[in-house]
Amino acid sequence: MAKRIDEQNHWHRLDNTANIFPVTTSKNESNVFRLSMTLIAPVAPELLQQALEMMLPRFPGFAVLLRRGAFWFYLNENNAVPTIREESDYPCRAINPAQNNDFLFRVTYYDKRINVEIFHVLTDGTGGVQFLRALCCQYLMLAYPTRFTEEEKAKHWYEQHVAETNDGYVSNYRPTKKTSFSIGKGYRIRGERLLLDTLSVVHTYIPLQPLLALCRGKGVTITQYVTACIAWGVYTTQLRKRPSKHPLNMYLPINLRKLFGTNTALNFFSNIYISLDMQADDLHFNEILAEVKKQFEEKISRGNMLEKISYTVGSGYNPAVRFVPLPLKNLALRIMFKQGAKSSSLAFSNVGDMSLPAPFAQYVTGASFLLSCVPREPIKFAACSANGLFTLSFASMLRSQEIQQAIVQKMAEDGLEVTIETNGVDYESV
Amino acid sequence: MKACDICHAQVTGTHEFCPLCGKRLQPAEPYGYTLPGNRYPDLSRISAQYNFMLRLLLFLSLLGGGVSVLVNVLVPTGFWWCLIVIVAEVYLWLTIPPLLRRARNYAKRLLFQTLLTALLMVALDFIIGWRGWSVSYAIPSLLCAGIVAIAAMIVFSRTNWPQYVFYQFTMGLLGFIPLVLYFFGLSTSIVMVLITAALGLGSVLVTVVFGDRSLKSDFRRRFHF
Ligand SMILES: [Zn+2]
Repeated sequence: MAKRIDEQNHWHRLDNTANIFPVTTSKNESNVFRLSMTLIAPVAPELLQQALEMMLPRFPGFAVLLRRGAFWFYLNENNAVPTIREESDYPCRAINPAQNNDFLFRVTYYDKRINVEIFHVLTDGTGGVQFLRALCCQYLMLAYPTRFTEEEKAKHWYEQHVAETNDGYVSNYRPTKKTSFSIGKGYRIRGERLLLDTLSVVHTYIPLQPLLALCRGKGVTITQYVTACIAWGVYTTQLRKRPSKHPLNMYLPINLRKLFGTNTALNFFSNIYISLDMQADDLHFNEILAEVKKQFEEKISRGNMLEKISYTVGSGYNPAVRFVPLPLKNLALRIMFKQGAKSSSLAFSNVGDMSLPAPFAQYVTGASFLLSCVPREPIKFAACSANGLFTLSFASMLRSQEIQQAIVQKMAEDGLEVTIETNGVDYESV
Repeated sequence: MKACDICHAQVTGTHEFCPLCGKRLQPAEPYGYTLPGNRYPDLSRISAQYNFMLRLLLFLSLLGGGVSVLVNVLVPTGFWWCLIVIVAEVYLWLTIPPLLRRARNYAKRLLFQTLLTALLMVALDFIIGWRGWSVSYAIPSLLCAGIVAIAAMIVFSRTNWPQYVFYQFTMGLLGFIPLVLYFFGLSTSIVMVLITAALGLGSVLVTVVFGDRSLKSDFRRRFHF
């Protein structure tokens, strides 16, 4: 195989948010997310393997392995070949590098679906979507060789440029004075757990156009509407019956690429917390939606995000942090993370449109996005869309499906045509 | 297509009951948009046999250790042989699981293994009644073997040799340990000390001279701040 990172760049640093992931990752906390594309016909494994080997050299940020330095972790180039496997486990399980030639991502398939599961150290959802798209385009060209023109086949659909392994956080860093972004403790979602590492997956399919029309009618974005629906689901099933003095804190990652006009292939996201006080027992959905919208508009501003990233980068520049040996640094990070983790009640991420470009779109029937659960946040929400279909997916460690049900009910009540699909771990089986 | 009257949603797949609320599904006219039709493997059996072998081995070794302590205490022989059992078990538990977990970077494993085995030898020497053979003979021999083994890896590995250079260098530095021990009067065999130190000096020099660029770049990535 060809060299993927040139002589000068056998390695690169972790980007500024990635530093936290190797430290906090364990079997219970995998920090892995899954992006899937469902095709019109069953996947041919040998072609998928071939497609992966063909497109990987175009994604140097993925052909790496994680190493420990004296002061920081780093990503070293990995010249081995990753192997694809048939899906045989629950989604988003921790990546064990030893099982896959030290790679930090995993490509699996099942029936018509291609999954890419990525350790967050490598990149965020947006970076992952580019990788999955490139893989699917390459696969489709191999699977239907006669249906594409020579010109289409010769083109490199999606690739990373060396410049794109620049850390967007560092290049947008401005010194800042603000020292802390901690918020208080958030409500913790309760419920009986599923056995061991069983994960329940529910996909909710909604046609995109009616959803857009509904949101436009309410004067909100899709993400704001779905965030409000999620809050509504937790409120009606848990908080209305057992009010809590802790607010419902919803963690939402925010893609910074558009905001800062960079196109890095590494992580480049920040986050906001939508924090709702839900002690009253007579809240209406529209009140929640209005509050969600208000907080979105206040919190997502370039200035606000700039302060946040400058804080993260700034602490990495601090000599007191830089020259501390890695094990001590990890210990400190772990303690800080444990403190911070208490503020979040749940997470919702909308990665947006995952459609393939025109010549390929007709071979795809849908896409989905899943986040890994952690004991502190036993249910996570992820959304994406492709080919005019919006997919909201729930990954849950909880036995009860009441929150999912309340959200689906709410959306159906608003006139949306909702179809659900599960991974078999649901009301019937447990 | 089937639908749930309570959730007001349609359900794909072979469900008879609603996956969300458990109510029996009713037949319904499909909504008319294309669905992806995702299928998932049936995993209900896999999670049960989770890590069973490792737990069994842990149980057996704890049992073995416990029994040997008990026998040693009940049948006094004037010699604490159960310590050997325990040290050996600790050694195996430190050695085997990482071997199973980490498939690659053999040079790093070898370095770790050499140091661990050296400690094992010192412990055994101590338990049997200190005669110093571990420090005088075992440790120098281990280090010599380690230096030669990494050198062989570099010679025979076509793809990964640059990353081994760093370990050859580090192992070479460790080759001076017997010399230090000799000066403190712990090691008695000057021949072993000199052989190990010579090999160590050799590998440090060779890696610095010939592996110049890869050694430098390896240092840069390992010690970047
Ligand atoms: Zn139902």
